[in-house]
Amino acid sequence: MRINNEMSGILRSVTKPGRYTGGEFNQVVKNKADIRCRFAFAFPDVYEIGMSNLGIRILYHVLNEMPDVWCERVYTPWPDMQERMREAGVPLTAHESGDPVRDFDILGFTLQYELCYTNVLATLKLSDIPLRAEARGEEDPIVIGGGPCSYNAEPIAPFIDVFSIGEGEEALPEFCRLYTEMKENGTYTRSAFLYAVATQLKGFYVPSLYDVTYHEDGTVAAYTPKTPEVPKKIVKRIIADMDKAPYPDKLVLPYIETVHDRVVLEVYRGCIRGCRFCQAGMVYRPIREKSPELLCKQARCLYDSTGYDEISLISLSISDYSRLDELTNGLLTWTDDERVSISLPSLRVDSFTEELMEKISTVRTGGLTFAPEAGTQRLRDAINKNVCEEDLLRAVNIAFAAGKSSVKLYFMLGLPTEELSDLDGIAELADKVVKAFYDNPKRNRAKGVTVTISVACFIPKPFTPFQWEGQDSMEKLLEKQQYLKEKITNRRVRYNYHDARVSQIEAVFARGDRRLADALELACEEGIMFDAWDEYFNYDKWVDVFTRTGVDIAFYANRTFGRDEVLPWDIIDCGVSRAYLWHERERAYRHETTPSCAEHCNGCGANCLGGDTRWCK
Amino acid sequence: MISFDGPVLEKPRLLRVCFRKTGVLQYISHLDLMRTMTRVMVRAHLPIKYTGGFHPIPHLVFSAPLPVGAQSPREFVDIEVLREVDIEAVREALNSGLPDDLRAEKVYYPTTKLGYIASAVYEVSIHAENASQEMADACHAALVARPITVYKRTKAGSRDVDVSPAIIEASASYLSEVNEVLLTLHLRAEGGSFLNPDYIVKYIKERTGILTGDTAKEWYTVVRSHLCDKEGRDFS
Ligand code: SF4
Repeated sequence: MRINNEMSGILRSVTKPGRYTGGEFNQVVKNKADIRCRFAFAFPDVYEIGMSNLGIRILYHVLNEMPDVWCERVYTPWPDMQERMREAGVPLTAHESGDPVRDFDILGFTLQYELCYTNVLATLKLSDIPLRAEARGEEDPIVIGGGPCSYNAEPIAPFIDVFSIGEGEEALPEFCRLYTEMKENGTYTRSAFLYAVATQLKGFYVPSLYDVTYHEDGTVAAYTPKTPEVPKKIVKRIIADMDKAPYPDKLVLPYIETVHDRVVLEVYRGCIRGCRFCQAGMVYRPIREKSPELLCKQARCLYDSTGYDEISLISLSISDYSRLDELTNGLLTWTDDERVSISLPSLRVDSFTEELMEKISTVRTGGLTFAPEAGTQRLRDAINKNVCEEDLLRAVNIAFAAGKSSVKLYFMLGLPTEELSDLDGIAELADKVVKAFYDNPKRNRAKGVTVTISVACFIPKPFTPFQWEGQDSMEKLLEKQQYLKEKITNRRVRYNYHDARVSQIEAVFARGDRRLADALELACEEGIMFDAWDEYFNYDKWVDVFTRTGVDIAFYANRTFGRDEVLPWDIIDCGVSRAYLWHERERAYRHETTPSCAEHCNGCGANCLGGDTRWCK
Repeated sequence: MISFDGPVLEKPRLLRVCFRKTGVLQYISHLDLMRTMTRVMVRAHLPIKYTGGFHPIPHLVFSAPLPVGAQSPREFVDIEVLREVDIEAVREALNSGLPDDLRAEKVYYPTTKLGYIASAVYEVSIHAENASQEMADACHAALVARPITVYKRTKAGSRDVDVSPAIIEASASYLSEVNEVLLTLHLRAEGGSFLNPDYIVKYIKERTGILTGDTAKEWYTVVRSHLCDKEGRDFS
């Protein structure tokens, strides 16, 4: 950022001015004279959150590898900063150059969670860019969205010119190349470019090129492409060979504290498990691993360029990595000497071993968390969370014997087929863990045990076997939360649960369609933003906004969608077939588990996307 | 990359880095500064002493924290080297990993202790629409008045405190060429730290009405220009 005197007056009066100053080590600054395409990559949340996102870090690197493209970062300023900027008439600027965002060629948004939609609008507004795609002129940047929410981006589609569906490492450079080509050969207009993107490139969804019609009952009738050239379905892009995928050799180092301030190493993409509520587990298929040799090289390189003292191995379920031993052993040849610790964010109970506990320092020193997700074996089978009680008790016993005295367990409430007895099961499971501690002869006798139960509300997500399920009504969710609260009588058990009202709004947007755009626009006018933050989430305001724009919350959140209903996200093909998802849903109702891809391929359909995978048949 | 493979010293030797913290880096906190410096030392692979414990990090000792929003041409951090090093190479290695607004100016074996720092001089330049000789006089009168009561955060909660004991000398003058009022504050270190000059600015603001105009057009800068020892000499 350029700090002129005006900015310095503003920065002195806001919280955490370090969020806005830029100038970080390893940031990319280019000579504007060499640049043909300026790309502003926005994370629609505050700096500390956005800086930690791996996807942006990868794409920042990929785009800046192109000599004629300069990718810069943009974050949503905290409300106090927004207010000061508005007072002073200062528009939103990009982090590296300090140039106004509206002067860029392309503005990208990564959509990581539905609750950031209002921040997308606030960011556009602060940049002086018209909110609606249709209102933008030739001088405005092309606004592109991507990330997990783009698998059903319909609620925000009227504000975005084009979505990149799937993995962006190859798609975004193609997009930028087409942009510069058309700019230079004189064929560029906004609409010509968007049409070319939709029809010549693969994996791009331009919402304005489709007419959406609805049945009388409010369900979607059809998505009709405006011309025959426009694809009927947009097939997600994937990187076929992860060993050849670009990966940053440097990371921009924040000065202020961010949420994941460490080396992050993406070990593989996809998940072999197939938990039936999990969107990531489905949309990132097929599974593609990186080799331990490459990972070790990348880790060393990133350590040298950053000086971080922690390497975090990222994937949906790290213990499923088929060469985990080789990887950890490879890293341990130097990490201990350099005083670098290795951390694993996702551990399954069945893979928790004494050996792992010794090797992984964060497992050694940090808190322990496991996610049984449901309280009874029946319900765990129904959601295909293949974790059993014995595994959990074995894992906590290893931990207790090694001196740990606190465990955190994640559960979900409101899951399809759930009954009150399943909630009893949560309380009982917690009791058993407490008992396991006191029965363990090697336990830390100086301390009492604490078992924390953290309970989220189930949210039906697109492209999961539970995409058709209605969420429990608010009354029901609150009732169940209260019921569980009363069941937990053990003083060693701590119970905390998510705000059901937040989960409901999330459910509305997760399964919403384009008709929610009016609500988002009104929410933006009303100053609603930072919904993911407790201090800003305001349920009553949302209910008011929905009422005023004629949105029926229950229609989106609580209704069970029909088997043959056209879903707003049917326009996207994520590889996994609808038939497979429905089949999985039926198995759920029969409490039948489905083996992991490592045991045997279940024919989910993701293999049609190609990719170098060891399991897909 | 410069490699530091000189002979191992019999016992660790204290090495001092004098650095400046200016420009955008004025907005990062002392904690952020510590983290940044730690990482730059790690990246440079300096042969220095680390802290013990579960999570060893380079052992760094800083001079009194600079408040957020203040710049300084001369701050200090002490490290302990375990090998003989070329101090010019150390400075280069650090600067190759530091941003423009945070630079190692000098690296040397000190003859003093950081604990000798007893006072500091802050220069506060106030750019305000109503800056004038009269305004500067009014500021000066406010600065020499006693007590100087500010609403201050303390260990026992926020309350009114007379901060004048922390002031050795304070004055205000008018710089007509730039139309600014300059406050020069010589403050005493109390328990290793200094009064944040922002408190004095706020006090002056309330007493004189300076800086109460359009916030987008008025600003002030704070520079800690000197750190001094007990005798009032420049610390080094
Ligand atoms: S195609 Fe088979 S192995 Fe591949 S992700 Fe789908 S179910 Fe798993």
